[in-house]
Amino acid sequence: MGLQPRLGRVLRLPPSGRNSRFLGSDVSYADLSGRDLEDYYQPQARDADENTILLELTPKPRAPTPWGKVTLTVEKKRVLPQKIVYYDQRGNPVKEVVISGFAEYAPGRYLITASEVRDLLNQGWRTRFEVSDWKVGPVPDGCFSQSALERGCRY
Amino acid sequence: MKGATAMTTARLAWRNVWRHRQRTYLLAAVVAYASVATIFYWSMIDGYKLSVLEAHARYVLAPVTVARTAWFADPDPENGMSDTDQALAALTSAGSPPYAPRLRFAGLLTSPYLSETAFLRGVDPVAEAAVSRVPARIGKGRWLAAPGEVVLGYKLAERLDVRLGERLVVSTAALAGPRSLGLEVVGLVHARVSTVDDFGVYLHIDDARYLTGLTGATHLAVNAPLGHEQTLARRLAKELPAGLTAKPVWDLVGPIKTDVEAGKKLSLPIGLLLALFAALAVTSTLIVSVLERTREFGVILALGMDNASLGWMIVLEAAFATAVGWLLGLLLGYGLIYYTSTHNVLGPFFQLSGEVWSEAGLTEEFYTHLSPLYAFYSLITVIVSALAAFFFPALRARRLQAAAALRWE
Repeated sequence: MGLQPRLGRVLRLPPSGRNSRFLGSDVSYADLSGRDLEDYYQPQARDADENTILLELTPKPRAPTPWGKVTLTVEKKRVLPQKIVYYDQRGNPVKEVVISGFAEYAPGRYLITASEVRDLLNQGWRTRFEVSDWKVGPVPDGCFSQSALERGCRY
Repeated sequence: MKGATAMTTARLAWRNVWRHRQRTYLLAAVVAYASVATIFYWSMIDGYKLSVLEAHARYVLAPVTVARTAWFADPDPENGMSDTDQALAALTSAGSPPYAPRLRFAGLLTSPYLSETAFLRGVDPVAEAAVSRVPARIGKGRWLAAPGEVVLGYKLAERLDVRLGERLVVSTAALAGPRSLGLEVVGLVHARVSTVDDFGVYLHIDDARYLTGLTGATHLAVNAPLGHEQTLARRLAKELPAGLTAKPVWDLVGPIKTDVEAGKKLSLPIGLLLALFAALAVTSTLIVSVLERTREFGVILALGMDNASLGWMIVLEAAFATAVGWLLGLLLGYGLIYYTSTHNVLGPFFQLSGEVWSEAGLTEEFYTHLSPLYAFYSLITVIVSALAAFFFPALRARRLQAAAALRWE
């Protein structure tokens, strides 16, 4: 479920909705969850320079992903993602996510605070995603109820 | 000639038919044309209904569908059959007609470029060919062979921008909760039926079972010869246990049935108008023929035939000539509709109308229908025209004076 601010209502997100645009932006719900890369792809180191590692991720057999491959540029020092490029099954880049800001909330633990999603099929289309405030700690289950999503949750 | 018997009048009439060959041929040709037009028209009307039925039975639905009664009311996998044993036992009792299990569900298709909702059909790739023509209408690639594959209508594939060999994500949320699979596109259907080409999605029934969590099938598609769907459905319904039922395709086509039946009702006045035109053509030919022969009738009256016998002789002449034309029309008409009912000569012609044809649920195949009823319809046309024609000459013959007729220019 997710809060739709324009409607002021909580809407149930179908599983297929993971690929839908988040609030009409270039970001999909799958981009926000970030779990697809771990679950659906097999990584292979392709290229590297002094500071980065380039991983090419190919979908596992029958993985529910429409992408042909995904490349992931990782910073060597902190092992943090810098850029993710999604390719269609014909080898054309379709979308890229450039991550430019991190916050270290615990030693060696990072939170992405600034990223930009670029739609490579539509020149100039991009969505910048910034986290201005954040708090680390367990979130009570009650915050995930429909009423909490609509009214807000303080803890 | 006075007091000539009916037999003699008939003999005279028959001789006159062949004495005026040109006139007879003309009248016979007009009657034959009217008969052929009537036979062909009604054969086309019935052929249209059967073509719609055939397209839905072989491409969109099935000749007969066996499912839980609840599934017909709400075609969701939760109303499907977790096992098909009872339905299969009923099929065996009803003579073991060919069948194929199907699992139909709503889902979402996702390509790298866009997503589209669709009704997906999980099928047994081998059994499906016994009840559907879709497996034989693959335009590119091949039909399903194993789990992990999907076949799409070619227009749907164009919209999603997926090609052969590419992966398409199929997602749904049913009994098993939200589930997704990446399936390889192995074939594109080119059925020329808009429902199939625009929206057709076929996957292996095992994949459909995994996605939905239903272990059996939503329904069984059962084969039946064209026109025998109702009979088989009734026979099956008697064998099925409570909670399961069988429906013929015609009961499942929804508003299309109403459209076709309304179309047939609309064709009735058009058919009557056609009959009226045919009757007018025959009548006018007969009237001209009688007018041309006024002097000849005057001679016959002068020789002693009474007016009543003359009237009957004219009526019989017309009856003989129209009978010859009608028989000729039957021969030509039935020859024509036999050919068009066994050869697809009209389908490509109608396909020229473009998308409208396939959107009406029709394929590129169109066959006329054969029925002995059309002989009756054409006979009615001939009788109506003959009656109208007989009335005028008979009336004229009764009033004809020998002296006046001999002076006729």
